[in-house]
Amino acid sequence: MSLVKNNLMTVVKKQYVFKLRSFSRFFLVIIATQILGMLFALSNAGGMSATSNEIYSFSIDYNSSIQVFIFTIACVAGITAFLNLKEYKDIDFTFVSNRMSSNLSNIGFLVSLSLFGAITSALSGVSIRVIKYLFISSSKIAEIGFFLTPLEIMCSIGATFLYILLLSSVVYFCTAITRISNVFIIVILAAVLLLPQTPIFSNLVSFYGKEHNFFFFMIKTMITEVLFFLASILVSNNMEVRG
Amino acid sequence: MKVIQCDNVTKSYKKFNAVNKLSFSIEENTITGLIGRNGAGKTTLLKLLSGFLKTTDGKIKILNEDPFNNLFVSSNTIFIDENMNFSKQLTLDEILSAAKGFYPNFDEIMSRKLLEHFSLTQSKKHNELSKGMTSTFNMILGIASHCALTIMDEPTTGMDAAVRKDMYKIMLKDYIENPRTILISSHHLEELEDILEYILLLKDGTKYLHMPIVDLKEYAISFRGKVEAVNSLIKGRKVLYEESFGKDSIYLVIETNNFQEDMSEARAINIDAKSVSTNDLCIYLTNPKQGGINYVFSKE
Repeated sequence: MSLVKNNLMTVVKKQYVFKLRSFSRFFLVIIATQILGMLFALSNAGGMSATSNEIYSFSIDYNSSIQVFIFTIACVAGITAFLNLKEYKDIDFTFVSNRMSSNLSNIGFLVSLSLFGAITSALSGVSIRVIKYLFISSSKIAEIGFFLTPLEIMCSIGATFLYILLLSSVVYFCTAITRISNVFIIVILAAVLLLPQTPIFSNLVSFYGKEHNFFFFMIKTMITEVLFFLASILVSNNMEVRG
Repeated sequence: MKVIQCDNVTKSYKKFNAVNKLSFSIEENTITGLIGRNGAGKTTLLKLLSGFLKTTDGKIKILNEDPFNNLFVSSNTIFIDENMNFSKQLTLDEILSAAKGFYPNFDEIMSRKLLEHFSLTQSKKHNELSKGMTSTFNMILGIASHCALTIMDEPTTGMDAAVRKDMYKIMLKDYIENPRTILISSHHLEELEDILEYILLLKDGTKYLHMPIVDLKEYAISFRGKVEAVNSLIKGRKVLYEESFGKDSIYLVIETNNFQEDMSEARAINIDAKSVSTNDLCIYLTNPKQGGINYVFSKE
């Protein structure tokens, strides 16, 4: 029997394609979640009602696609956690794989999923605007910030993508370390509960959330994502599988 | 060329050694049966060889490389067991196409013919199959992949006897056409022995014996007759199994170096001497306690 020699990237590519086919349903899950988010947005669940008197009544519905964004980011985070579950992880090792190729193809899949989530999230923001324009009567809508330019849409997609991937990389790392020991589950839960009460959290929020220069924002988030993914690879590279 | 080389391999879980100082090697293009009781360390050994688990001690070489986390070894190995995981949304047809992508030697035409032969619908999902059908599909995948090292752990779990028999025939036919190294563990040695060339018997995580199956057939001899007459034939050799019948009759299995000589010697004194089936022999060799069931029901 002739021996087969594969290089890492060939296997990663095959695994990535296999993953897209195996988990294509996750893309539909994202869309379903976004439709739910849109319904929330349209019902004004997250909008802010302001004041009214006998003459004027107005409501401030700022950032109408924030609900969709939150639903999308939570959905991708959930899918990321799923991918590191033993049941899903073992699928890679049914066919040709090593830990590195499994991780790299996972990361490729998460990047695709995040990009898809970002594009559909931005487009659903546009859809919400169109629906509101058609059904809420255009005369009642203030123009400022309502009509988006293509550049604004591109920036929105870019920023959303980086935010989704950022959380996804953190979740990927967290689930990777929980596979070393269950103690990390407690550590992570404690961190999730306690961190928002510390000043570190508000610093992190302003570090990633209040950066006005898009380029700096891009550099910051991308470096963080690479670091988290690298750490996940290092942590899981020596792990046993199908045990 | 040696495809598998194990040198003093140990795999420990806490304080328990699932595999214990195991050394053996397997030559290229052979079919070896891995036999042992439940908990003898078969699955652990197979997963070590496939590079899924890490050895605690000792060295494993598959195709001259350490298999753990090794892409070259993975490219030339397939591990088949009942717990193979696939995405719930893939059909059998899609899984076969994917397998072709990963294993260039994969015989897609044969795999589809085999699905048809075993009445497996290509449009079915893997998780919709019954236990026996899942094993049948997994084994088809293992055979058709034509990997240099094909490892199968209890591949026939849940299959009915007819399918098992058919599957072994197919495996042998394909092996003759496409020689490769096959390592297969099974509880059904009696069904498997016709296709095996070697047998590796494990007991308590360690090698009990590793020999050609032909030699195993003459490894032991059984005597049935009067106690004194049978005892006179033991001549200090190792008794592998002993069972009493009535007041003064006994059935005895002993190790032998010269099967034919022992056979004629026993017949000369009217003792019923026979060869021992490899399946029974493996059971006797790995018996944890002399006496077996009789011991459980004895009032000692």
